[in-house]
This record gives sequence, C-alpha cells and structure tokens, in this order.
Amino acid sequence: MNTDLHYASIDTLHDLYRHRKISVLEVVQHFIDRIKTYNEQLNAVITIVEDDSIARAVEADSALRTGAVDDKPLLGIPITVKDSIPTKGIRTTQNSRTKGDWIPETEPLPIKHLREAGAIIIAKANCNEYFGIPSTDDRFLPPRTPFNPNYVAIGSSSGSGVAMAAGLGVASIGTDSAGSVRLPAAQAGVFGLKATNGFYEEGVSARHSTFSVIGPLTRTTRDAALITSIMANQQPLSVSDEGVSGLKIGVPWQYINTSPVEDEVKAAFEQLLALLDDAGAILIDIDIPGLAEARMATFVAMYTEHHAAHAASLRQHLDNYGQSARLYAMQGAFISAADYLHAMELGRRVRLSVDKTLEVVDTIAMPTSPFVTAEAARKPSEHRAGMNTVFTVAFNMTGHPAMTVPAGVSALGIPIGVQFASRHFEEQLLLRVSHFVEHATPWKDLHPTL
Amino acid sequence: MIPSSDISISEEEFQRLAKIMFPEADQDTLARLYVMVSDLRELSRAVSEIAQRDDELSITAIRM
Repeated sequence: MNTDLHYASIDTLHDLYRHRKISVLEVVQHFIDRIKTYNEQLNAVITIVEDDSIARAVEADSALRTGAVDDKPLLGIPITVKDSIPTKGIRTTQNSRTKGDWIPETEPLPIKHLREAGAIIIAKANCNEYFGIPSTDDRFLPPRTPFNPNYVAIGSSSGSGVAMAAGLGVASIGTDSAGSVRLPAAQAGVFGLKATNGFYEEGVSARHSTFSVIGPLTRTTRDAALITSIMANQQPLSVSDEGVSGLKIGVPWQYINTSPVEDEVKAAFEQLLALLDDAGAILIDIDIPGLAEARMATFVAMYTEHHAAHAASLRQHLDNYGQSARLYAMQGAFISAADYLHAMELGRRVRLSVDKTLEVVDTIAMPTSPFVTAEAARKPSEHRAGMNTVFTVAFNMTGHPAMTVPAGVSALGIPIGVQFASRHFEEQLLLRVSHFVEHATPWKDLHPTL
Repeated sequence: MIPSSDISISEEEFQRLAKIMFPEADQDTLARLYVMVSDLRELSRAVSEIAQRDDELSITAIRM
C-alpha cells in the first residue's frame, strides 16, 4: 500500500477512485487497519465504526461502477468525527461515563449532510470530557500527539488532531468554542476552519454553547472549503489562487507581545509574515481594543451556559463525571444572571471593535496557540486558565470566521500554526490566504514517524 | 439565588450554597470547587466592571 495514502486529500483519493487505481473498500480497510495498529499508543479514537464503514464502502464502489456519483462530492471519503458530536446509529460517549453507550437516533444537520454527500464515518475521535482538562480518571485516556508522544494532544478536539497527524482518516470534524478546532489542527500541522457563528443551519445540539461552531480539520485548503460548504448545505466556497498581493494583513503586535507566547511560536509567526510580505501583502501594525476582555467575557459566559446544559445531569449522577469535567460543569452555578449578561454585553462591544478593525484591514493574523504543548498551557503560577486560547477565543465571542494554517515546527518536533480572521461570512478570503500559504511553505507535508 | 460577582461570598457561605445545589458532592470536590469559583467570580467581577463603564477596551493581553 502506498504510504502517501495515509495523508491523501479528497482530490487525490477521488482521482485514484476515478482511474480505478484503488477501491473505496481498500481505502476504508486501510484506515481502519491503521487505526487498530496505532490507537493503543495514541488514544486517537474511542469507537471504530468497522461494519457500517465496510458496508458503505461497498455501496460507494458500486456507485462508482455505475457512475451514480453526481450528488456525492465526498463519495468514499473516510472521516473521523469528534465524539462530542452525536452520530445516528454510532455510539457517542463524549468521553463521559454519563453517556454510557448511547447510540443517538438523530444527528446534527452538518453531519447528516456529510453522510448524504458520501462521506464515511470510520471512527469517533477522542476528546476532552465536557471542556475538562484531560486526566488519568477520564473514561478514555487522553490522546497523545504522534509528533512527540511524551505530550498529550491539545484539545478539546484532541483526538481529531491526532487522527489527522497520524494519518487515520482524510479529514476530521471537531467543534470550536474557544479554539477547539483551530488549536488541535495547529498542533497536528493541518488546516482548521471555524466558520462565522451562524454559518451552519444548526449547531451540534441545543445543549452546546452560543460560542460553539462545528468545523473541519483537513489536509488541504480545498478540502476545508468543500467540507465546510457541504456541512452548511450551500454552494461550494471557492478557493482563489490569486495570492496575497495587495491584501492588507493586520497584526496586533502589542497584544501578541504582551501575551505569554513562546519564542519559537513567535519566530514561526514572523517567518510566515515575512513570506507574506515578500509576496506583496501589506502588513499593518494594528491595535484591536478588547481582545483581552473578549477572552475573559467568553469564559464567564461559556461556563455559565455550560452549567445550564449540565445542571440536571449533575444532580442525577454527579459521580459519573470525571473530576475535571465535574468541576468545570459545576462552577458556572455560581455566576449570576447579571454577570452573564454583562459578559455578553462586553462581547458585543468587542465585536464592534473587531468590525472596526476589519474596515481598515482585510484579515487579522496572530499565532494560533501561544504554546506548543498542552502541558505548557497549564502553569497556574504564571497565568490563569484559558491563556492557551488567548489568540483564538475572541472570535468565538465576536463570531468572526478564523482559520489556522500550518506554519512551522518546534524543537520538540510538534507543528506550529498561524491563524487568520476576517469579516463575518468572508470565509473565502481566509481560504485565499490559506491556499497561498499551503503552496508557499512545506509544513503541510510534515508527518510524524510512527 | 446566586449573588452577582461584585458581592463577595465567604467560604462558609459558599459551602452552604454548594451543599444545597450539589448535596452529593464530597468535601474534596467542594474544596476544589471553591478555588475555581473564586477565580471565576473574580474574572466575572472584572468583566462586569468593564461592561458597565465606557472606558476604552484594552489593547494588551491581561493575564487574569
């Protein structure tokens, strides 16, 4: 089997299918075998969907033979889905003992659209239990990054990131409430898109927060565009190859320089900015008032909403929550309605501030994660909770779309990402920048040795 | 009713409220929860203060 298959894009696989170089069944079996080989050491997935995947692969091969593929832009594409997302007929645990072996009878529309388009869910990806911090009492142990298994993977879509880094599927679907698609995608060396809040017809569930947006982790910009469009049930987003010449890229240096960003993260960021500058982009030093406040306000509001979603469940079976998830779900009980409304009002002011900035520049660039590892983000003596989201979370509160692109590698061998944000519903501008970076740098081809 | 974050809650008051809301929680859980809630309410107090005044928003990172 060609090892390039592990890291194939949707276009590559479809080309192989069209020319009868390989069957869908062979590809699905390849990825399932690979998951079985590496999951014990990586904890990337919780449930392998073997029988259903094989059956769907056989159906896809039949459709390919008869040419019934027109309305199936994802025909035969094996994907993983974060286990916090309900999947019809497939066990969904949310990595929590509170869920038992729940098999949902319905699933959110974005997942339904993916399956209707021909995508095959081969596994449910591991994740942090309900926003908690990974710990040894988790129902399923935390994933480890294949680039350096001494370190746990950044979450909360941690299994999705590991599945992508280790070549355990063509794409993965995660959720992003504070950076939980972008941060693991950055650490995995892949692309991750949080679309504009409200971009999709439906969120993951009514119990998910105001700030949570479903989103793909992908190997290419085109894959991100295609999957995002399909999940939103709309015409494909185009990926422009016109480059970045003349594009105004705002860099909030003062905010970045006062954040606890690691030196090698900053170096990778500066290197990518230099590349964009050489390509004709116009770099502008900007101030965006309110990014810091947005982080604080989001956590106040998010934990309040999180408690509201879990209040009844906590009363019924408190002991079924892992220690970390339990505390995270309980703390929001001690925030008042007035506090919540103040947080949301502050978020509205920050949104106006970001809107104003985006009247001057086309996109805002920042590192994706200030830290290379999840472990570095947890130093309470140096900074408070949530500092690992210092560059990502504001856009969950303000609703602006944001995308991470691979931009470097750390001394630990773990990839580094850079994030771009744009005006509401201007995902195509992010895809244009991403496409340029994808083809101007080698980072998307960085893979771990397993 | 939970008082808004500009009203401080002593650990004793917190324990009383927490026991009403989470009667099955053990002492270790409540002790850890108190630390987290104290941090979150401090964060919330700062957020509420900023939200209620017309001061300019910050252009630097805040490590709170």
